Amino acid sequence: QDSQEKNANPVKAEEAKLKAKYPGLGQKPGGSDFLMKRLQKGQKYFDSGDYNMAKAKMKNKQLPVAGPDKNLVTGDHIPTPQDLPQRKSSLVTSKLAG
Amino acid sequence: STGVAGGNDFQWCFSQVKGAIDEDVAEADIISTVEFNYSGELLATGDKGGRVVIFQHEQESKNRPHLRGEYNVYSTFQSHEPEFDYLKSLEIEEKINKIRWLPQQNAAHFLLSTNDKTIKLWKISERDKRAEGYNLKDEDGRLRDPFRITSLRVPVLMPMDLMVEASPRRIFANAHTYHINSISVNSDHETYLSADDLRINLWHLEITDRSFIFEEPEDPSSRSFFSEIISSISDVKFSHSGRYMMTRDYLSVKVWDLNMENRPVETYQVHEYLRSKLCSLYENDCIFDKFECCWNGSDSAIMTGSYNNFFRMFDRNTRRDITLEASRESSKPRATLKPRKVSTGGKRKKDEISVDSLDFNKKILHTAWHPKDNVIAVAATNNLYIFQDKIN
Repeated sequence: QDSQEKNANPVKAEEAKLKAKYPGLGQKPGGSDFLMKRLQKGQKYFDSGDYNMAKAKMKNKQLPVAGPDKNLVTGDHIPTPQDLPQRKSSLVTSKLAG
Repeated sequence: STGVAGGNDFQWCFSQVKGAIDEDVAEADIISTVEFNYSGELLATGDKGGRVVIFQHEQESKNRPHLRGEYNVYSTFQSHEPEFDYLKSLEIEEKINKIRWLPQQNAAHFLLSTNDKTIKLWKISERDKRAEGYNLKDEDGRLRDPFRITSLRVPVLMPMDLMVEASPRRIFANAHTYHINSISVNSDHETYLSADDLRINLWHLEITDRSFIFEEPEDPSSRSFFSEIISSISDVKFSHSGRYMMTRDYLSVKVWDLNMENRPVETYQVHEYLRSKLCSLYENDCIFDKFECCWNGSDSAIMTGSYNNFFRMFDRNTRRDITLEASRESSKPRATLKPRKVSTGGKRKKDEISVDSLDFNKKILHTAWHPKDNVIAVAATNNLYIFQDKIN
């Protein structure tokens, strides 16, 4: 009877499999997983509000610079544009043109 | 064996392959869009590294008239660079989502290339002459002392080695709130499509406050966690005739008659056997892959990609379909492509491949069909394959 059901609706069977593995799926607020996945593309930790307020507070002083490990952002340190890992464009010619 | 887009004896064969052979594929080299221009003379590719490579079709050589000419590199340039949107804390990828050629109006070629946020208009022009014999500077470009010049001459245009230059003419930034994934102008020049992740809008260029929305009503009994994801449209294309529109969702391709917006007129299953694999395809993110689709020049056939470097073609008239593979193994000059088959039942026949043996990392997301001839361009990750019909 089980295999009959599976043949009749394989998608529902797959859904049951997924729900068994991940019971909390689909219950989160914020829209579907699909939408969240698309919207989160490229998100990095940088708050322009924090950054500008910190700049305003410390008009005459330097902002605290990130430690040697720029990826570790903790404590009072406010990420600055300079802290963000800069992605350089590839200046190499495409191998399709080779 | 019978192929698609021709008579009963139609066969596809290998023509060319571009790109590196090495197994280690750099992210930047992954091809993200392929597009022929209106005449089919030029073929453009865009990649994740923001680069555009344009190939030009060389005329058939007089010595070997039985071979079609080949596509060779015409121009290459960096179209988009990575950016950072500080306000939204978002990295903006330089990946070229789409290239669209504009109809040619003069000697130069124009194309639009877009990433998620910015559309650019590029002018591609040839220079095969340069002026020589200036009065105020000599041939190295050094300025001459005007007081030492005793006679005037008229500069002459001399031939030079062909130089193809690409220059950005317009930059359309901040045009979209969401990620631009597709723009398609209809051949009637009156209507165009814009597509985001959730909906297709068909607009009339003169009417800005209304549009027709094409949406197939969902069958409530088939609704599941997966149905929103797999019904999401990954590509939409007008037919050359302007009468039909084609949409691609995860498992199928649908042809719509523009006069009927409540349901498609034709539905083609691309890889129905994946329906019972959705759980693992969700876990490995493959369910989010966005496949494209394309029409042949006469709108009698459609093509789309699948996994394992397979791609599928459907003949709308005969209802025949074929599965072919883009692989280095079948890349001998003019070698005929052998039809492939995925075994879905219990018994796997010889030469068939089982669903569980499919390589889901080898995805054919981007394909293009020459506007007039039976020549197709298939992007397999970092390689570009060109196939053509067998000429006897």
